Amino acid sequence: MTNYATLEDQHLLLALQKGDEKAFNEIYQRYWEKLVAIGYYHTRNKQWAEEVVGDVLIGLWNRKQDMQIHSLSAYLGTAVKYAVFKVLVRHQRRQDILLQQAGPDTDDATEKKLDARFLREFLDGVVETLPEKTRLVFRYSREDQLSVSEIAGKMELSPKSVEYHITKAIKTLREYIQKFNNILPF
Amino acid sequence: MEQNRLYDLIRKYADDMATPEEVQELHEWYQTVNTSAPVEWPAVDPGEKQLLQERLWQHLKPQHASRLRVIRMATRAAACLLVLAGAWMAWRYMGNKGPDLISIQNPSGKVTAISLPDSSHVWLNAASTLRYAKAFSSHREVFLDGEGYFDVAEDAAHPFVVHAGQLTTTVLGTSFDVRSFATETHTTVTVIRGKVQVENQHSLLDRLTPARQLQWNEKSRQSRTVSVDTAHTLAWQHGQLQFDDETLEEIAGTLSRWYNVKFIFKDQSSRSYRMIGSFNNTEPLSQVLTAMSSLVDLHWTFSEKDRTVTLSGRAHQ
Repeated sequence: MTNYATLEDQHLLLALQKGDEKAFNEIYQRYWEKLVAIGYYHTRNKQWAEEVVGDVLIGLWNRKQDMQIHSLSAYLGTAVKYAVFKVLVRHQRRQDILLQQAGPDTDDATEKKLDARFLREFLDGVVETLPEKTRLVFRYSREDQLSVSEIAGKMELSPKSVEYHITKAIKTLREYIQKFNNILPF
Repeated sequence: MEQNRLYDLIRKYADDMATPEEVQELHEWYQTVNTSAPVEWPAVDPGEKQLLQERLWQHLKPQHASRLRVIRMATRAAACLLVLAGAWMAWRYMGNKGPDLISIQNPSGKVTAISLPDSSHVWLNAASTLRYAKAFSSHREVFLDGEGYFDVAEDAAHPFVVHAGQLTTTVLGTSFDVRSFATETHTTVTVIRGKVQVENQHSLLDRLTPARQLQWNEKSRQSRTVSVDTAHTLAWQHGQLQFDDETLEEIAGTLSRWYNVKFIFKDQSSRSYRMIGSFNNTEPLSQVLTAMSSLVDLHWTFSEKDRTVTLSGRAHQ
């Protein structure tokens, strides 16, 4: 029988991707204190802190097959920040509804937008792992909106190899994230 | 940072409308966690970590939850029966006069699943007791104090009979909920699947179809049949403490059975105040009380010594 407590994060992630519930439980055991402490520090409310932990771990479970997570602690570190933001705006929204300063359906979008931002930040981290030339080509293309020939001129590359780098970057990103294509500017 | 400023920054950040300075301000606020002293987590309950983990799984498995829960409950019930055999399961011998009765007493704070010899299943709510004869198979008859959900194995030759309060419920194979607490004036029978016949000592009261509930007033000895949401009736079986426009007195009754506590109302008129609410039954009592009290503007205190909750103030919204 596998002793999950002795597994490295990497192996836990692999097991998690296969839907292994024990791996999830072990991740929970390992990171609960940290997550709940961060959640509590920022919200000063136990219940909200537990919501933060819930958000992070439910998100991890639901996305386990869609994202390739290389570093569990880095993923959780980013995820918990967005979960704190989400829980804070969620409770302010509830407060507004209670005080009838807002209708029940207002501003629910903020949480979804925070999710999208989280995925984007996570992907930015992925872009950083690309080889330097590929990363540069990709940034020129996506962030500065330069055309293939402009990038080719700037980097003294042939248009064909510019296209190669762009394709390679997109392929890598796609491997990281499969279900969330709609939020990517492809 | 002021709260409103913080919420404002988070919204702007989500909308991608924050200036670089504002983004920095938000991240600085967030980063301060790394530089300050360690955080004290005000733990009340050493089992919190475990409880949250269980709640997470309830979130993650809503689809096949009911089947899993049944299995889990069955194993839990089995474990509970083993461990607590001495404390909670009493084998009662009625002497030579009557048949040997098996009595299963379910304490506060848990729902117990029982498999009967005919492979029917019963889920017993907190503070409820089920009794049946040792020779059950030839004579399918049980006696209920409290609340139970029955999933009865089909056997046309042997009707299944539940005695509760002044009512007798007879079925062939079906599932239904019977609720009959000595502390409540009504005994109710709710049908989930199949058909059920309900009578009192003297006469047939009604034949019920799914989602119909017979309510029998034990005092006035009157019955009426209404349509109900069976999901609400069975919420207890799915780990929920659900209150749908119930009086605080009724709610206090349910909570006292689940958490094994007593309630004192300082203001008597608050007893009949009605509210709606739903809690996970793994929630600590303190959280349920805090949520409830804040909704109706009451104040609660709890005495550990005699396990009594005192509600003060007058309920209003």
